[in-house]
Amino acid sequence: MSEAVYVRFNSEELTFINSISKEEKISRSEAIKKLVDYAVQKLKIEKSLTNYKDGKVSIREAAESAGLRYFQFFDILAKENIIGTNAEHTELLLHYLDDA
Amino acid sequence: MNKLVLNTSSSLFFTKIGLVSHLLKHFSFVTSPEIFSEIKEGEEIGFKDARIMMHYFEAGKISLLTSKKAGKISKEFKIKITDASVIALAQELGFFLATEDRQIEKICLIMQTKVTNTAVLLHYLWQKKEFPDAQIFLLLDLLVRNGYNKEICLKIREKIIKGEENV
Repeated sequence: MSEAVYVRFNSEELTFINSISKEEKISRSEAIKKLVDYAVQKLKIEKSLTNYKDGKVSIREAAESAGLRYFQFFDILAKENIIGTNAEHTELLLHYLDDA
Repeated sequence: MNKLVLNTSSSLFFTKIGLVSHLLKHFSFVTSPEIFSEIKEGEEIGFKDARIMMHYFEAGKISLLTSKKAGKISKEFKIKITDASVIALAQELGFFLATEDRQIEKICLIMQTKVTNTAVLLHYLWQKKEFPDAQIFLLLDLLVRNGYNKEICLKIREKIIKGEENV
């Protein structure tokens, strides 16, 4: 279900929207929609990264909420250098293997 | 021989730094059908590390086992069934779970299920003289370059420099 929304832009924002519209040969509405879609995706990913870093969700759950497949989200985690379990548990994990 | 339950996250790092054949000398690998499907999907969408892991599945180096308690663990901890499948396998069989996922590690520790990760397994391989010191340091650097948590790698590096073996 879609809904029309009234939004006020300042002149700088309007200039940017108009430039996107002209460059991509699309209407101003389509340019605004494109920018919103881009921002929504970026924010979803940022939120998922934060939730993962805070230990609230697994990689799989974070990927799903970002609207991405596991491997795509894994690549993003790798670029941020935040893959890996809790470093504070390293000593404990080393001792586990000790008994192996 | 020890057995290792594979989560996708660890298996990707194993392939990124070429650890699989070294680990197979000390562990036999098992995983769940859910993980297999996930890695297969990764291969289908073009991820090279997934393709390498599929090669090991096709060569029969990784067994597939279905856990009994995945559903129960999924409900109890409100986690995805794929996450629960490997925790359940490790719990039921008394095997180590190899994972880089913080949430999964946390649940394993709560359930007192044995858990490990790629950096700790590198230390294990160093203890078993699979790699000399210089090569281990290169592999730790390679892990970090591939996006691994630098802090964990530094801790492992320090342990090796001090010459500490967990006895």
